[in-house]
Amino acid sequence: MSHDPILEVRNLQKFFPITSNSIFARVKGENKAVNGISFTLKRGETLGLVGESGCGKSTAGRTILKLYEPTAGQIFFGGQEITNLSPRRMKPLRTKMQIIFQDPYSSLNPRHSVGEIIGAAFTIHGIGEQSSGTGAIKAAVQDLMARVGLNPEHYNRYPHEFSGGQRQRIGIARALALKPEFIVCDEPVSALDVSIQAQVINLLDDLKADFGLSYLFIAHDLSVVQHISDRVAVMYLGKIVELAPTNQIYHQPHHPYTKALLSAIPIPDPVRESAREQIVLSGDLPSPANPPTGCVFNTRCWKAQPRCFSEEPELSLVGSSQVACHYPE
Amino acid sequence: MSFLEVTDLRVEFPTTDGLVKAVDGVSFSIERGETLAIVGESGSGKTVTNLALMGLLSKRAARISGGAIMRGDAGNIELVNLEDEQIRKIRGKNIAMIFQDPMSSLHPYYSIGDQIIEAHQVHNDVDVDVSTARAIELLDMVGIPDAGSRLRAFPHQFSGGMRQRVMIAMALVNSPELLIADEPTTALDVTVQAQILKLLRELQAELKMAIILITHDLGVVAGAADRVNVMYAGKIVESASVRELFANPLMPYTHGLLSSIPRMDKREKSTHGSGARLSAIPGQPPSLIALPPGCAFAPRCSFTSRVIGGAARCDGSMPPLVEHAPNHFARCHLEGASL
Repeated sequence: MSHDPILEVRNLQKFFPITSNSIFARVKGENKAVNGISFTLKRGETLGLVGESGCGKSTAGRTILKLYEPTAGQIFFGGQEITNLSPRRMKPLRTKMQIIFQDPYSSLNPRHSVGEIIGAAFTIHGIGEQSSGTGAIKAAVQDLMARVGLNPEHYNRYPHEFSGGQRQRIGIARALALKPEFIVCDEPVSALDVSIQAQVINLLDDLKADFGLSYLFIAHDLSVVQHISDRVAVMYLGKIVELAPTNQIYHQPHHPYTKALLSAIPIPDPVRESAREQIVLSGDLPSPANPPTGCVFNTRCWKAQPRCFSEEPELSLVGSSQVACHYPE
Repeated sequence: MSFLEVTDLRVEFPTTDGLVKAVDGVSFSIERGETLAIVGESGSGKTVTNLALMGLLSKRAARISGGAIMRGDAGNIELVNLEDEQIRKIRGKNIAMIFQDPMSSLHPYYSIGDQIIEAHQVHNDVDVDVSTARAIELLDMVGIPDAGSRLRAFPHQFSGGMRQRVMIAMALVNSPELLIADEPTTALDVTVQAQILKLLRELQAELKMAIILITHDLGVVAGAADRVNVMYAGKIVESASVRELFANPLMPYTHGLLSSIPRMDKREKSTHGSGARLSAIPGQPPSLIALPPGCAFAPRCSFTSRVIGGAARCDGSMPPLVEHAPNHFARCHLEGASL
């Protein structure tokens, strides 16, 4: 892992307009899905991004890849600012940044064969065609299929002929096709059965080492994130509330939300599970259209003080962790 | 005499590709106040088993055989292949079910009050006011604040966790003796999952319900179940008390499941994350059409070479479900099933 960052995000925001339901749609408000997040990703590093549904983690991942136009903030990729690049100027960079989606069923075109799906990346970027024709693409695709544990002879099969775990491997092969440097993994194993999940996690681990990849690993399953990440960022309502090295965050969480989140995970061991001290959070996530003033977590925090309702805490250093809390644990 | 006794339950779906044996001779029993977890991967038959008990499988699509006797308040009832009219009297009253997806299992056009009141009215010959009061009582019990005025709210006005609470309130409105919870927390976030599991535990203690908990999450099982049945390819492959199963899994599949989950409580130090590779189970679950005569797990099993008679025996004959330790059953040819 080198110290020069492959990705840097500064105060990134992504707001979605909320419009009224009439023909003359008026903007009534804004859904503040990502509300000012900053972090860096080093080359060869895996950063886990965790949080509950609606916290903005997937939006963050997609905005970083400029699949959504950022509302404000800056994104640097390999030292170059890409925040306002046009799609045409983004295209050469796209070979270096890829995404693996959560749902292996809806992210593959059912009418395209596996060969076409994986090979599309080469065709779109005009790689391999001029020099040696489609034969070279087929060979490259079959190499990739073998690499992710698919049978290369299944080149002409369609997605419905594969199981969930195999489809996720197709998605991974597609993301790897152009030898990217950086991959956003958006809940890549959430839709898979436990025994298959482990296979895919191991594959992602191997590929990272072989191809020298950096991952932004988005997931809600904290045990999977712990397994794969070097550092972990916890998001709540569009903000990063804690960012720390994996060992640190799991052994000594500083933000009350991180603490509650970790304590809520059931341990697959009945003896320890019954002895586990659990913080059950009351209430639900506030609406991202109208986040609480002050600290975003103040509506559910058991140690909120008057200051938490008036003043928003900034991410600041507590030991080796960055924590956004006025009263860290 | 157990409260519910299921014997040799079979559910088969004839399809154009062949006969799908979704549930292939399943037997188990459960007492009141007990929680039985059924664990397995997608397609292992855990949901179909319970849909059969609830009489929710179309008789035209599914062939159901075997027995399931419930000895409850309504007398002894044989649940399998009950006439529609009879099952309707029991379903929602003596047996209730919570489904996985709270988004699609509530009717979007009716207020949640109407839906809960209807569930009560169907089984009780009482005034609507009585049912309304009961609905408020239940919503209160599952922790929905300001229950009286929330009766008029529609499902879309609730969050996922709140909708699951509404589902639970509706399931419990007639104080069922048996509650079937099919992945009740899978669609929910961990913090909400913790709330719902705690709620189910409290309600069970209060109402002395038997709960069948269907899940693939072994963490949930560890915290919520008394006994566990592990299913694979339509059969129960291991059955034991929850502590015994986690401490001493006898069937290689259970062993594989337990070791393939990343653990937050046990982790080896290394350069990044927990570093160590997960021990994944190779391959994937078999197709339920034309299952081999032997153990369905044999093609993925790494212990077949230790079986007396070797892999040929595993591939050739289906091991019976044997009691290897007191109340600990496993379906494996391995001598004394010692892993």
